[in-house]
Amino acid sequence: MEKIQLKINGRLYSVKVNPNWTLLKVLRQILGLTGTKCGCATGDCGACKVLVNGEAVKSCTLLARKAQGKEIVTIEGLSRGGELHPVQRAFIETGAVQCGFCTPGMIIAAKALLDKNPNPSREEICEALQDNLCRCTGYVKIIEAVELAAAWLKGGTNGASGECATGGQVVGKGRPLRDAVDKVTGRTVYMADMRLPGMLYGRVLFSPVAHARIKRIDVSKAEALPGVRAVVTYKDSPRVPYNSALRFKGHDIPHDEYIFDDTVRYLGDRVAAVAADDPETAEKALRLIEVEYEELPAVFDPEEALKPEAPPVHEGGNLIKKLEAAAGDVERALDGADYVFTDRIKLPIVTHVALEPHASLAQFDAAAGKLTVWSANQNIFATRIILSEIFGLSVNKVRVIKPPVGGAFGGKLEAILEPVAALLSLKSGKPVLVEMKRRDIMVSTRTRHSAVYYLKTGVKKDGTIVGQDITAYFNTGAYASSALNVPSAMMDKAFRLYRIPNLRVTVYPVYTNCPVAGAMRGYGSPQLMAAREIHLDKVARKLGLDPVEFRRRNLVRPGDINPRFGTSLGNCRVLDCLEKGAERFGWEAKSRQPKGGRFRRGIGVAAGNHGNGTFGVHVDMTTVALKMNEDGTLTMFTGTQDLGQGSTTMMCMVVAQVLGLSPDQIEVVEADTELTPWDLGTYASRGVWVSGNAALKAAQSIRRQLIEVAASMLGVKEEDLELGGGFAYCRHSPDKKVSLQDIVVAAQLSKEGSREIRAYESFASVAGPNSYGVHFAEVEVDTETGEVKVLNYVAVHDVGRAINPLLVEGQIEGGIQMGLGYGLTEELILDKRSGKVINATLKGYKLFRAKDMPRVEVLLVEEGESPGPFGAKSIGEAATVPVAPAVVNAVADALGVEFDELPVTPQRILAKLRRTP
Amino acid sequence: MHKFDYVKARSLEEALRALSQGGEKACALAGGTDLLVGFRAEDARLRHIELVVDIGDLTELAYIREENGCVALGALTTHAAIAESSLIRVAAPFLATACSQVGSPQIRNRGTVGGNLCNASPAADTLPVLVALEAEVVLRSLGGERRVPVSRFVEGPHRTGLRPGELVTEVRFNRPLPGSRTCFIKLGRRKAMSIARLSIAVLLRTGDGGVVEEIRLVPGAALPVPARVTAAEEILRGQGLTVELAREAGEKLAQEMVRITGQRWSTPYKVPAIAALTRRAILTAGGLEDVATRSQA
Ligand SMILES: Cc1cc2nc3c(=O)[nH]c(=O)nc-3n(C[C@H](O)[C@H](O)[C@H](O)COP(=O)(O)OP(=O)(O)OC[C@H]3O[C@@H](n4cnc5c(N)ncnc54)[C@H](O)[C@@H]3O)c2cc1C
Ligand code: FES
Ligand code: FES
Repeated sequence: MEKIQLKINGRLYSVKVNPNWTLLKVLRQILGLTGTKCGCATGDCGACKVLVNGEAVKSCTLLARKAQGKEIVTIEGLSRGGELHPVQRAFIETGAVQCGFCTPGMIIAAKALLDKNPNPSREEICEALQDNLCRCTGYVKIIEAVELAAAWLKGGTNGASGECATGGQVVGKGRPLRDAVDKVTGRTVYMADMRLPGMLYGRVLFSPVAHARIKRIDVSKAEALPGVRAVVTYKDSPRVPYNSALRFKGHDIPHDEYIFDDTVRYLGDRVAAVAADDPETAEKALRLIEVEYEELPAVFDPEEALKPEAPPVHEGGNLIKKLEAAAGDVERALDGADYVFTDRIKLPIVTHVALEPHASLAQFDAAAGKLTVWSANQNIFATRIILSEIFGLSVNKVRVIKPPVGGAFGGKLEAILEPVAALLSLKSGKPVLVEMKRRDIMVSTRTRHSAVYYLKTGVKKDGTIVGQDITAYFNTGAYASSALNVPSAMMDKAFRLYRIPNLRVTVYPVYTNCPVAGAMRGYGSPQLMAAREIHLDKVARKLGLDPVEFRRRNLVRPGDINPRFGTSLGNCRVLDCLEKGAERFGWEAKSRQPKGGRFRRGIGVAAGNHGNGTFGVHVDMTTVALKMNEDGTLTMFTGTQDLGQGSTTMMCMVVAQVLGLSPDQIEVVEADTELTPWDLGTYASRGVWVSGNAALKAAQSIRRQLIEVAASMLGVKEEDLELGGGFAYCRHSPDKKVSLQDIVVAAQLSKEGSREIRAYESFASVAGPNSYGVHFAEVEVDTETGEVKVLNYVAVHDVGRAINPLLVEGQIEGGIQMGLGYGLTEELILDKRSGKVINATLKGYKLFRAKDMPRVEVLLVEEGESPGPFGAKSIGEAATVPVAPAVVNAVADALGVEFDELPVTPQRILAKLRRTP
Repeated sequence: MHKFDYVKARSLEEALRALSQGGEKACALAGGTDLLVGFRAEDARLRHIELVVDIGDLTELAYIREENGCVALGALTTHAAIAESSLIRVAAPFLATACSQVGSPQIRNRGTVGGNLCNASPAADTLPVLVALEAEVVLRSLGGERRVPVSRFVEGPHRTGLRPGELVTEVRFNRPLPGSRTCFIKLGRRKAMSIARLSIAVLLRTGDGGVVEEIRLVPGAALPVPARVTAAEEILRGQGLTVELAREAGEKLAQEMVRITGQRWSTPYKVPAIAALTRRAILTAGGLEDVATRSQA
């Protein structure tokens, strides 16, 4: 240890450091300046950027010692005396902040740029942000934010605006996230920023082999290492099987996973875990655990895994359960078709890459027999059930709390680290924070199911689809997780996009020794639409039909009947999306462009749909509680788990609209199993549809109570009263009014029965329509290198009604970034022999960066969907569904070739081109 | 993260002494852009390191100068400094181009040419250019000084002839003859959408009547060790440059790559890409129009 001095945010700090400590470690761990984030620790994400003598530097790549004598500015140093820096303000204003995890690094990079170049072009902005990753925003609003900040700085203003009167129209007006200020200043406390007294650091050991029995495991050396407080293996693990994807008590899905088992089933499976005084000791201890494996044969391909000779991953064989859904008579329809086209399309394993690494903190209080877990998690109530079952605790002795989450996309829906953290805390008697490295997150959390699709479509000469038969093999990896739910959800979507009277979808979810597949944004829809939209494009071209025209002839119309259930599809406005988008994109004109030369342009279109909650599948309920306070403000309690997408902001807007308040007057207590009412979890795009409706219901109850009290105070009839601007007033003589605070106080102090104005309302979903989108992409392909540049992008979505258009756009733009990766670049590549993921780094796994993004235009179709609050329906997942096929169809169009495997990388493009000279 | 001791050298002398004491277990730290990432990622190649000698403050090792037709770069010269140097831009423009395309602005401000060399990544951008320039590495230790051509100094991916106790202090090369034209092109590797990290460095001099008198072709990230591909050079030497010959040379170079590295999973895709890249670079250096140019703006 050695003493150094660091000048940070104008203050001189004296710290003792080890020579190998990075500036990031010193900032976060020693000085508690946790505004600077760690998304990888290997120089690949930019979340840790700070200013060093005015340059934006990734603090995870700079030794603390080397930072001596330099001027360091962190995100905390940007807003002096509470006054936000214009860059910070611009990030808020433009909606560039979602989960906020990339935000400090982005703002620092932007500040460094603008200090040197007050007039940056779009290209220069992308260049400055090229090593800052964001998974939420698609960079669109971030780039806008930098442009806006530049304009403000040039104009000498700081962008402070004096808006925000109470009342008025709230729903339908764009509004930044309610916690955006915390996020731009680095004040948000994410999981890894939390500290408890006496807290230990937990690390997990992952299997280096794909399939093996543990013959011997010796932890004595690890336990003997000073500073190590607990080591756990399968010998300490309760022998209670669970399914990490459980949604509610009694949910009937295969329970095949243990915290630790004596068998490992994929390269990356959990083997052991350590809790120690500091992270370095914990990591060192992992290396001291001796494990002897007896290797077993392994299988990595879902079709191979179904062969009789394939090694079983679990007892009972690799097929989990054949799933089938059908309408009409598919055989007859295909027999009677003018043409039948078939395809085999293969989809890769991809992963979420939320910028915030997975982490959980558990504290077991032995005296009280109570377990408290804080976790970056999307489903705290289900996690509570899982923990209570594993550890045999009554449900009220388990408390799960979700702090702010730095992006999830389904990757934090399942209980992965929580049981490990709990076990370590149980054994050590101390609170334990378990964190994962980026490399391990990419392999050992959850992935999107890879799949092989066989498609067969019968059409009439005019392009009308008469029948379709789809069979898919879904690779669920080593544990079942969502092996049944994801394909079932996928099958349901197949019946809701095109008018196909005779349709059958069959899915074989299969165990393999691959990383575990689970929930990921779109939950099966991206797979189905990628395969089917690419297939149908080929069909259209073979029929000589324009892809837009082909879709126009076959897409569902509002009020159409779902052929599988005989129920209405609701106000499905996908055709409007098609027409609006084709027009804005200039499809007609673009489709006439000639092709040739080295750089070839092409255009593509794809449609897609996704659900609104889980209605019809299983329970879909949430509860919202509201309490009025004495000054007319409100407190909302919700189990809804906001992940940065803005669901609680949306709920506040709904409540504010009903009560004539400003959303700022509502405080939210969120996602704590002990303090907030029950919720099913943040998944299935149920936020607006279910939580929005619950908020609406609770707000209406409050409204009735306020008006009831006000009516007696003012001596008027209830039906003559209206709420607005913080008052209840008479519709006919607005001067006759009483303020909400007076109402609340009057109710409290009333002699005739004092009462609190409060509501506790459950809402259970009553319908399950879909949200729709049609996307258009224009690309330019370099036929020499296979590189694709996405030039233009138009996305049109049927969202019923946008409660918060700013966040709706943000969801769509982020969904596009993720979908472009699915189509063109992202894939976890497994070594065929060992089953090792060979590109488990942010260098090897290619995410779209600011530079790679096209110009994106988002259009909304707002025709209302009646059971939704104010007619609104979901967007979160639907946003990413049509992207990959749209862009792949564009590449195919540019080159005149057909693709049958994603992602369409330069390698695959060149391979195709070489076969078709 | 990996544990090590750290000393900050205040003079070259001090650095050499520390490195010599540390022996096998010591290494230098220049800009740290490779080294720190390596430590964080728990790179096996760094597992034995116990002492890090920070040479980042030895400003005497950051210079670009020309003496008697020989251009010398101090080991601590950053990519940014090289990219902006008017001397380099005139004497060896492709070196300036290569350095201007390294990583991001932040990386260019910190990463050094010495570090790029010693890290010897197959994807290091200065390596093919330095080989094409037939540059030499100047190595210092307490025992004295030696010089090794870059092409021999780099022994394999992440392997060099650097001996314990030694420091690279300088890279030098003879200024190419007047009339030499150069070109460096790489596939954009920091973009999501690009194949491997292929690049190509070309140095070309034509004499009277456009006959190619000198040609050096060095691909990057294609061979285990960056080297001139003489078989491809032969095709052009002594000939008048044409689009067809450039294409042939490109294809030859790709074939040579396959011959030397064997077939790998990426080979079928690297072949057309490096062939095209080479053709384009030769034509650009030769001032000829490529046939396959952009069809529309
Ligand atoms: C995000 C990112 C992007 C990058 N992009 C590119 C790119 O596009 N192209 C490219 O070529 N590189 C790229 N790099 C790699 C890197 O920036 C360069 O290799 C850089 O030149 C290394 O120099 P350095 O001074 O930082 O080396 P250091 O990290 O300090 O050292 C690297 C190695 O060289 C040794 N060393 C350094 N100097 C000496 C010396 N004088 N004598 C003896 N040994 C020495 C060290 O011991 C160490 O082993 C990138 C790196 C990052 C993090
Ligand atoms: S944490 Fe430093 S770049 Fe990711
Ligand atoms: S807002 Fe950028 S990663 Fe979430």
